[in-house]
Amino acid sequence: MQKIQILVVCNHEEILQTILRLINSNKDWEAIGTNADERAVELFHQHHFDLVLLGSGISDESENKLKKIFQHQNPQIKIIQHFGGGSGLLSNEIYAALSNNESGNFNVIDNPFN
Amino acid sequence: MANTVLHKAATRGHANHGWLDSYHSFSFANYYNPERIHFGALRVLNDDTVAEARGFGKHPHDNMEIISIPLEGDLQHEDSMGNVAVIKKGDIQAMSAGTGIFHSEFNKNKNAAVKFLQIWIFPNKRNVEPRYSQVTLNAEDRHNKLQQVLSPNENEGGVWIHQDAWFSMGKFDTNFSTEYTLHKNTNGVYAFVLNGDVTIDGQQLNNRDGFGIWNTSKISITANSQDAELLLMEVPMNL
Repeated sequence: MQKIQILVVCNHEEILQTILRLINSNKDWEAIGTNADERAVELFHQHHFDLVLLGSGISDESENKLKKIFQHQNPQIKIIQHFGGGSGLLSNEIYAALSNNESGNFNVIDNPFN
Repeated sequence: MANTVLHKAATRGHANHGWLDSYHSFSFANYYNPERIHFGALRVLNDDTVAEARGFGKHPHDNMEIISIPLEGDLQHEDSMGNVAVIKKGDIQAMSAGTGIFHSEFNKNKNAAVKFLQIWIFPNKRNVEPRYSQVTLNAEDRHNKLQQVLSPNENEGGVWIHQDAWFSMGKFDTNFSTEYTLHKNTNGVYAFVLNGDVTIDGQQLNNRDGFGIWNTSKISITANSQDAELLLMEVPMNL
């Protein structure tokens, strides 16, 4: 089975590394990440991703910019806010986002601030 | 008419890792139930028991208001802001993870488990400066009354967080009745029974049951057993 490809964008380097380690410990998921917007755009152009996770420290401006760019390139891309910094919510958020993609039912929070 | 949701104690998610025995009222870690993701801004309610001298090693958080309420024993906290503290029964701890923090939590006791509630609330502001606070409350102040233990305001009772949320705790004699009036009509209340039996708006609840109520301005509470203990978490329903 092909692994779910995940891009993580997170300004806090230590948290980014924790998130990547946790995601990559799941045999069905594969993640790469960056703490820079420009590198995120570059990675998005170079690889196929099923999901983008926006983590800590991302400003509203960066978030909106990245969303626009990613959705322009792939209108189907699922972009979610990650809360909790790589702790108990991480798997849940990914499972929820993936099941949303399959069913079309958005019964969880994409971004509680919007 | 009020809306309600009932989470009986036995229907919670459960994970026993040996050193950690945890019950999840909402989806957490490997427990995933799409019907139980959150109650408004309340995202996590974990009922944790940590074995002697064990605990959660250094791990990160961001953009979450994290509240810990010890029920038994002493919990040692250390974080990347330089805080080292022990919280015990009667204390309440609040941490705004904001732009990101690392912390660890350990059972300070060498010969007894520590039991505590771990509660996570979505904040109303993103990327705030991380913050830590703890207060010691007088347990007598909740005997047959509701004692406010958390609010959005620094100068109110208990700790404060970045959210329009209010928590109260009460310990009641049998047949004692009271009412709780919500602060905002867009908020709901999630009641969690810490001990004994209570009835809230006609719904009988037992130890560790959870009951969410929204679209109402007040709720009625009656204790059905001696020393019934209750935690009320009023949170915004619209995020």
